[in-house]
Amino acid sequence: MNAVGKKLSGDRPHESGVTESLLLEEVLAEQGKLQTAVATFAEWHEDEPLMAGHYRQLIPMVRPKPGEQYAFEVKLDECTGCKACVAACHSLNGLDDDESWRDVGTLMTRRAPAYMQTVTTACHHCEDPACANGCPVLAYEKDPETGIVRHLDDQCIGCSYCMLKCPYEVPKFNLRLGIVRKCDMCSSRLGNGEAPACVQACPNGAIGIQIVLRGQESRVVEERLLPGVVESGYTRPTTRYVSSKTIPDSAEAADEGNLRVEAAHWPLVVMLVLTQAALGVFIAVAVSGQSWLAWFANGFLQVGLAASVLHLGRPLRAWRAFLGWRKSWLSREILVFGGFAGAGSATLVGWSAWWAVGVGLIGVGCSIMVYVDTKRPDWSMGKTTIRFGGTVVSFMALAMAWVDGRWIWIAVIAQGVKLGWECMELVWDRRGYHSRMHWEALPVWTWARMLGAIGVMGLTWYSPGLAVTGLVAIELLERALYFKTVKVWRMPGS
Amino acid sequence: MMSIPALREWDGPMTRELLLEPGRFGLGQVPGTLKPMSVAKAICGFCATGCGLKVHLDANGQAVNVTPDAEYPVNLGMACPKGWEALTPLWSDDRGTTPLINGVAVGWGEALDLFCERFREVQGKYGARSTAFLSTGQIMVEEMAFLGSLAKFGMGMIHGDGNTRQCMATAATAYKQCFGFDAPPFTYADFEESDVLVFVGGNPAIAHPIMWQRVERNRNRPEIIVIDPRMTETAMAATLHVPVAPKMDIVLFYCLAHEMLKRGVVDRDFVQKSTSGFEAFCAFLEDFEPSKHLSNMGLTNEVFERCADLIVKGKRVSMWWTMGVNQGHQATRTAQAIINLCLMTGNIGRPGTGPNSITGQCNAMGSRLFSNTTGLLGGHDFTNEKDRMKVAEVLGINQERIPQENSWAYDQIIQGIHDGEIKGLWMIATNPGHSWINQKSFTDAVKKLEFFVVQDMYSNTETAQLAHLYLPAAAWGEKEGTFINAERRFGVSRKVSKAPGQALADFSIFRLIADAWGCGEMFGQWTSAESVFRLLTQVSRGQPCDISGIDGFDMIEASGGIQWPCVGTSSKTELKRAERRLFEDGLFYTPSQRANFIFEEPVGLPEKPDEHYPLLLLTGRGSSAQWHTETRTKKSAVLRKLHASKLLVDMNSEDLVGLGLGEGDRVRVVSRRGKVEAWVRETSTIQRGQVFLPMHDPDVNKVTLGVFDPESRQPGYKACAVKIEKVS
Repeated sequence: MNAVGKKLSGDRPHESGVTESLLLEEVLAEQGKLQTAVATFAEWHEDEPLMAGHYRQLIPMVRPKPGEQYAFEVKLDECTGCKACVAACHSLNGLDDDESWRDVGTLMTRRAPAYMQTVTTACHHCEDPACANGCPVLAYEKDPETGIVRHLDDQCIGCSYCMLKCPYEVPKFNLRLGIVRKCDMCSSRLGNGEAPACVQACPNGAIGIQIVLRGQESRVVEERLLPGVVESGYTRPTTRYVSSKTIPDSAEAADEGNLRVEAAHWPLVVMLVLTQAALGVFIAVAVSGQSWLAWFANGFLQVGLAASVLHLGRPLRAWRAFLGWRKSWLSREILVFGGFAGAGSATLVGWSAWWAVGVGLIGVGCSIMVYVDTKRPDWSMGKTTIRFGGTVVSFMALAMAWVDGRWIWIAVIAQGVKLGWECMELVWDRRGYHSRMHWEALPVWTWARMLGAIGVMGLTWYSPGLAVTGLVAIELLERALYFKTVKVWRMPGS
Repeated sequence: MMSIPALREWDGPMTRELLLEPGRFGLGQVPGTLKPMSVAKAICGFCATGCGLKVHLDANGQAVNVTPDAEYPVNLGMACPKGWEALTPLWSDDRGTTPLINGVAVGWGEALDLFCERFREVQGKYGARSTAFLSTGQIMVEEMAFLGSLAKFGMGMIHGDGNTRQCMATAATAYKQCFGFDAPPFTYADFEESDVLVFVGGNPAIAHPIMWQRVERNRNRPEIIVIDPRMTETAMAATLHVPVAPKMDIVLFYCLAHEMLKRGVVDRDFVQKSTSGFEAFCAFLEDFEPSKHLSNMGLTNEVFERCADLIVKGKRVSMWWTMGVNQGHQATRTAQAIINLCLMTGNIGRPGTGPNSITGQCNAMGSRLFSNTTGLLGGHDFTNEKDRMKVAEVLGINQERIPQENSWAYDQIIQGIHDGEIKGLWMIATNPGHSWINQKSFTDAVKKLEFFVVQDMYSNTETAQLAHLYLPAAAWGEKEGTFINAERRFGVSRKVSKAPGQALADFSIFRLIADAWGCGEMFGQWTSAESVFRLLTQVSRGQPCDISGIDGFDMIEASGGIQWPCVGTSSKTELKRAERRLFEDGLFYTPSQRANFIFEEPVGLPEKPDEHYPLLLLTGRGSSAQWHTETRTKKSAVLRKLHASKLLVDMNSEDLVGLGLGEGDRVRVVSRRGKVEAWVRETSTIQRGQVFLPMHDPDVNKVTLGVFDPESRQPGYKACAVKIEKVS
């Protein structure tokens, strides 16, 4: 083999050196040339698109009347898994790399009866869109005429709260732009009598647009679009999945039970823990009257609020965050935390700490509601309040212990109760998703949290002041796990 | 002066980024940022469906986007995800841009010198027979013809084969033996015209979605029978799923033939006029009383009867087979068992009928007729003197340059390397370092080569990394030429994108090599793809695949592709009939003009599950977004998200319980030859005792068993014995 790479001598096995170099130049030059445009005037169709004949029956001929709206209809019998709709959405909308607003998943049974069904899914253009309801800056608009849920890309601050709110994983974050983008049912195409990209591209005509009545009962009761997805009452999705086959009761998403680690959302983790720590310390200030503690409380609060800004893809647009206060708990949280910062600072110039405590309590209440409002079972009112409230109480007790040794017992107990609750959740349903996420997907994180908490309880005995740092660390771990292990509502994946 | 910002921004740069504009050219609205200045046509370079694409070009003639061609008769404006993403693999930043000698970049001059010097050295030491080439179903017809002619007529090689051996050899052999020529008789319109469609060992819903589209367009409310051990997407859409035991399909077809005889539904008239060997076939069928074979086939009597009923009741029955048939240890006879069934029931030569092989690669059919590997150019025969004379005359070469013997098949060439008979190998646009059955037998062989050249669009494929010399090729879309699709349709693909660096069209590389080797004169006329195409039309004259009536690329493009045959006398109206089928006159290409019944005693599995390796491994396509060894499809982020991100092994819940395994467990699939790691997916779609792995993972072929159909020499990828071990 060593002879292979050796430099050649001048000897050539042939005598075409000159021709060859000319030919080489010729073919290289030829390769670099693109053919001239081949479209002719005969192909210049100014009028109707060539695909119109195909999709004419798949879209309505008229606009929705009052009380109606556009909706996707998917014929499952015709959805056979080619996934052209996903690629077409990407190409016909000029989206980034892997960006597409349509996905295809699979429903199947694990055991007899044998069943498998691919499911194409995009935005369901809900009657009561959770994304819009959660948006702090009103970057969503449900079109009054068409019912299309449109996203205002230039309004979006990239907080990604809509991604937590939507139970169908519709809004997708675009890292390049720092905002989310989503399906608008190709409203520009529909407006011109053309079909949306996915409708045009489905070889079997499985996807269509229909005009449906708003406020239909089927979308308010406890129905689900498909097995395993969220109850439709949450957002009242308008998409209809129709099939001639009965979906077996045992059908589930092909990826059901697959452990999926979600984003930690570190800025939110820091913000939540530190604002709650701040509230706890303000309570200690108010109760103990030790005003030097207020410096710590304000420190926590300022760092926490500053961190939250890092969560935004477009922070310069964030001044509009008050706009959504009527419906969005996030908007309310932002407003109240603004007040909290003010009331907190005021303690340094002599205001009573109870002001900060009062506003802070409302703020933490809003924080709780931000997550409860996503309807994720792991983030229920009980589970979230225990965690967020537990953090407040733990810091409050620890701060008290710092100024008054008699509180050490209470501080240890407060931390112990919170840890005990978390452990109980893990023991309760040991084969459940929540436990498996902790022990199988994130065992190191889980052990660090548990052992760390015990360590901090020990440290509290020796030095409550030092334990504060420890408590911040292990509470950050707890909160990161809160985000990373959550089971999200979504459409079937594969 | 700054204006006061609005409370709600309805417009702005980010909003405008996604604005759509009329694309003109009949395209409807397109992204404003990618608005075409002109459009060009191309035929998709992935599979043999042969979809027409419209490539959107900017002012410089550079492709910026692609949409399916609404006017092309094959795909009617549709494409699968691979077609939609056809351009993306061209633009990946790991394309080969210069020749490489042992991984070091060199200029073309040095590369060509080394190519000639080393091959001449090997030939000098061991004779011209010691050098061989292995090519592909992915390059253009004209390039295939150039390669085969250059290697054999110019460089004196005897042995050369294509990766079409891995997918289509069985169909080609079966047709040749039965019909006298490798002639798939159908046109895609048959999908729409049948009242009963039978799919055997294929999953067109995801493997050929655009053919499946034609099935969905069938207005006859057809019965769809799917014969497959797995309950695939296609089986799910069928009216009857026949979950036959792996590799027992041949028995099933003989039993069905027996049943047809018993029920007296044979088309006596057709059989008498147009076939031979039927009596011997009837005698052979005596042993195939269905009830005796039901348990072997793993079928209930009810399912078998219903399958037979549907075929009997059908007025236009078409049978379509794919790799489940072609890749088996007795594949040719299995395909012929399907052909026999069609012949005896007269389901051939009429709309909506036929024993129809669905081909794999975009130019598998071009390879079968024009690659000059197994057969002499244009479906001719190396061993036939008249054929050699004819081809030599058309090409204007000395007849002595044409080998008088047939080439070894792919597996024989690899065995030849092991045996020391092949010492130099030239490989073009294929990746057996991933795809060859019992992969290690290939990678071991390569180590024994004295000179190994790989010509490919990427220098980092499993195979290219093993090469002494790598030649960077321009890809589909960066060159011009024709493909032949599964229904015998020639289609033209145009040059729409610039190749990176020094990459050259395979066609140009062959020109350079011909010149460097010193046989440039022999290929003096071979200056462009179209000039070669015109030569081939002359070569084809008088053959069943006669295309002498095609006058260049523009005619093909203007006609929406042209199916062979197309002789000079084909009238314009004849051509206008965009979809034509063969054998409408009941005359076949055999000397007697009759189709042959060919059959043989079924042979059991070559590697039966036993106590050590108790499960049977099936392999196949994973999703519509993955193409074979994924050298191209993995370059597209959109395609990547359309399949599982890790290798899943489908298993039946009863087997899992027995093994103490469950959904999501990490396991090793182990055979006598190797092992591959995968994650368990518990599913009802796979039967007990069987497991399924998609073929796209580079480790899967470490496990497969190197068996070959004795007639077609096609590898039997589909069934081998394995065990499952838990990875702790």
